[in-house]
Amino acid sequence: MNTVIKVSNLTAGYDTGPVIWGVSFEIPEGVVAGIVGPNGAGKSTLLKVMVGMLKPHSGTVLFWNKQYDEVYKRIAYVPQKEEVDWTFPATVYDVVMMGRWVHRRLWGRITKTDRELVKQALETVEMWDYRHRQISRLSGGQQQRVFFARALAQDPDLFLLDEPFAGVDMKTEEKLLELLKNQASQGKTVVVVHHNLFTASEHFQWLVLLNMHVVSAGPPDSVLTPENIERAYGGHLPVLARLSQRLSSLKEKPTR
Amino acid sequence: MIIDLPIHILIALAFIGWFSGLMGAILLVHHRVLIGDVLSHSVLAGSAFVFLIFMDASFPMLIAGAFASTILSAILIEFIRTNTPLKDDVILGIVLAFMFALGISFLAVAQRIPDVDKAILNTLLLGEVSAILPNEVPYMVIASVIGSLFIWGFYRGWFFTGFDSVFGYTQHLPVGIIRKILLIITASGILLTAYISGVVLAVGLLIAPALIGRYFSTRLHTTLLIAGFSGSALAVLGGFISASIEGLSTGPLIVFSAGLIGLLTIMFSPHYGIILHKLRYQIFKWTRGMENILRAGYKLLEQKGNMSYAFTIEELKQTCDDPPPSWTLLLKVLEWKGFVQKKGTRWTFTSAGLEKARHLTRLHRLLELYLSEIVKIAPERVHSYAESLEHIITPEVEKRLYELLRDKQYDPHKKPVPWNGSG
Repeated sequence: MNTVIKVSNLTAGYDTGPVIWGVSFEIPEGVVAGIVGPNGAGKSTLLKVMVGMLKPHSGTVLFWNKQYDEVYKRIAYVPQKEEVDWTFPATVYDVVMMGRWVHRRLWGRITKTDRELVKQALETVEMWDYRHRQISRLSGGQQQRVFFARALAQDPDLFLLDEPFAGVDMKTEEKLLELLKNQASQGKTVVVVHHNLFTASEHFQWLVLLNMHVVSAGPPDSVLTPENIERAYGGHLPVLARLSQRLSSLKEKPTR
Repeated sequence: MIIDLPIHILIALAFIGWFSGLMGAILLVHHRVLIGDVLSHSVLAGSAFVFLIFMDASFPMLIAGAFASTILSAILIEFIRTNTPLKDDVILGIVLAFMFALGISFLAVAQRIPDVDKAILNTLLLGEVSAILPNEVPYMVIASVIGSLFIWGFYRGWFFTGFDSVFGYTQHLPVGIIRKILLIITASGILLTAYISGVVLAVGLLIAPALIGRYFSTRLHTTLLIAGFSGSALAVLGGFISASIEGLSTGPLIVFSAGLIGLLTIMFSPHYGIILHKLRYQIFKWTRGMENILRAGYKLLEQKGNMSYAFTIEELKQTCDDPPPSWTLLLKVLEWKGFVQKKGTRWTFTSAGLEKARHLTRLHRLLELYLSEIVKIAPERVHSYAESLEHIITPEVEKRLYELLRDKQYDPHKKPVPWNGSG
């Protein structure tokens, strides 16, 4: 398998000091990967460094063996819903078209292909009927789908999603996950920052368990061992007990 | 009444009003309208300072001075913002108070200087369009056009600065630069606005058209267009009013009419207007009341076992769990709509009324069934839920309910579901 993301010895943080220390891991092509860890583990910091919003103190992040600056158009970043202003006067269609503006920049002409891609993206997330809807009048799950449609319209090879399942209902979560898996099966790579350890083993084919250091990275089975979880979550017993229960019940099922 | 408003002033008002509207709309969607207020209050300091130094109150000199001070204010705001943990309201408050106090002080000093024409400095405070000279108008028009072109030119940019800057940063769009351009457009544009409406009230001419644009549209380009046109119209309107009343400054009149129309917009706009919102609520309350009367009547007829029974209001009152706002009035409306007929002190259903009542009862009982059998809510509690839901069910949901529950004959309280005419 080809490596899409290679993070080597990354230390990064803010003026007050590093948040993540000497982080190294790889993510292969064509998987839905989860970056999982407790609150304050540095997940968001890691993602910010990856997309070039924050300069690392040391270490490197490479995508397809290249710097982010060379390949950013192939990478679609989906921010947390709370980070944007949903009162902005725009329709669903306008927001998804932003995915095309990435390629056309500020003044390039919008072509028929662009419009076609926007339409396809909206149809994929089943939001085409809502295209004229003002974005402030969407539910949380719909907002998340519109965001994902924007990423699709960008036509990238790698998706980076920051907590896409936060504040959406179970059904939307499943639906979104299906969309992500679909992309992965087409050879695209999907990386999701996720806080819920319990659903992580079911959602992702590749896991990065983070708590300021990388505790472990790889397929869920090899990552979610009791020792690793104890190292990441600091031996939080109730968490451990519930998770090991969950894991043992999972192991009885045949692995996909 | 002949209003004496020279054509060059009309042109200036129309163009500056248009540009002010666009500028206000862009600031509004960035939640930064107050920065326009701070920058306009800074105008005076620069203009008066230049006058004190050069003893020259010509248009280009004053504009140059004003521009220097708005830019200074903008830099000051950004400097404090990036270097202190202070919040925006504090920063804007400090800079506004400081720059305006400075301006007023310079103005006071300037007043004491004899023998130089400085009347124009006073007009800056509250705005006076009759002070606009024909040879100044071309500059104003050109500046407005350039400013508007900048705002339209960065159309996509505003999405990345106003809606989702993180996405813009990750895709290497010049978000920071576009933000600075917004500040520069405001710092230079506000000079024109302040020139016609006065430095104190300029923000009014930004905010009112922007509100109109925002309230009447859901997309950025329509917001901009509506804001631009209303800015134009409001400025011209204010100009006419002030020209028709002797001795009134233009600025307050422009801003007063703009503010008035802005307030009306908040009250009456179709999507978010307060009045229509309240009206819709009242209409809903009355419709709901009528539906409840019909259903109570149906229940009564069922109890009497006689579908053509003539009932009194008293009997209805005893059957109804959710009393309407007014019995007599709503029965009158129902009569007018042809659902009930009055016979002395008693009422009967017409065939249309009976059909409507049967339909409402069917819906209510199916909802109770749905809530108790599928949502698994205890039967004794489903009635009140169904009571509120039945008024907001769409035909599509209703159809689904019918399909889902088509073989049910009785509701959870063992009352028959009136599927057909036999009741």
